Amino acid sequence: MKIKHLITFLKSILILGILIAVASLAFLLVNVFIGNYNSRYITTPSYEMQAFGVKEKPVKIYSADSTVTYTQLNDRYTVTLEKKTRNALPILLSVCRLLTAIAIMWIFLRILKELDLSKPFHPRIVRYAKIAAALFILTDVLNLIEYNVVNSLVRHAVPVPYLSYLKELGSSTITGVITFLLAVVYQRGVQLQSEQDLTI
Amino acid sequence: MAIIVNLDVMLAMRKMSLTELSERVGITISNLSILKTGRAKAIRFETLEAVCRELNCQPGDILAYQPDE
Repeated sequence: MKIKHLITFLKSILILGILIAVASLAFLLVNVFIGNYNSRYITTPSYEMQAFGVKEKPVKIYSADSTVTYTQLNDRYTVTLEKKTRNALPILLSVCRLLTAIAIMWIFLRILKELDLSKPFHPRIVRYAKIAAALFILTDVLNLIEYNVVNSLVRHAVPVPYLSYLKELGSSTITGVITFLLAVVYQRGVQLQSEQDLTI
Repeated sequence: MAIIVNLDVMLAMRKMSLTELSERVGITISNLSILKTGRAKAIRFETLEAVCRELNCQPGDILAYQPDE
């Protein structure tokens, strides 16, 4: 497969992703504005949580042929915000997350459109890459907000000690930092390209 | 930049146009224009050699150093 075909394929995937995300966002917003909270486009916020205060250690069980061990966890909970107690914040976070996802996909689509294999270094791509890095970090900020909001909501309502939301934090920040570093290296490439163009 | 390109002076002294020089040295007019207007970041030895050959001059006649204020 040629790189040109790969770029076209990636563009198609990104356009499809943007269309799906925009449609989801539109349906979500329409249902929120008309007050239809039972719609399937508004998912019930449900969170995987772990009680770190449980003292009993999980028992490790061996399989019949001793090739596999498995452990039954007794400190995991699935917490669902019921409709009557649901506040607007999870919906707002869903909207923000969808908007961020659309923005990231749009930025990568722009990068692929700007990419010219005969002259790969373009200053606009540097700008797009830096924006993408900032959006990745913003995603993690949203995750952190959700983590704190869910923890504070649940700790008031559920009488289980040290209940904490199992949310992966930091991976988007690492992706953002790596994207930013790549953008800085790419920026150096743009400078070298410019110097090369102005060498007579 | 402290390096001044006197290509326009040399062309005027030799009564040669930029188009004619570009045809003789095999460099596009746009690139020679970049060199003439002082926007070039660097000049290759082979370009300098070709320009000096066609204008029958020394590199010092084309390039000059003038310290920045």
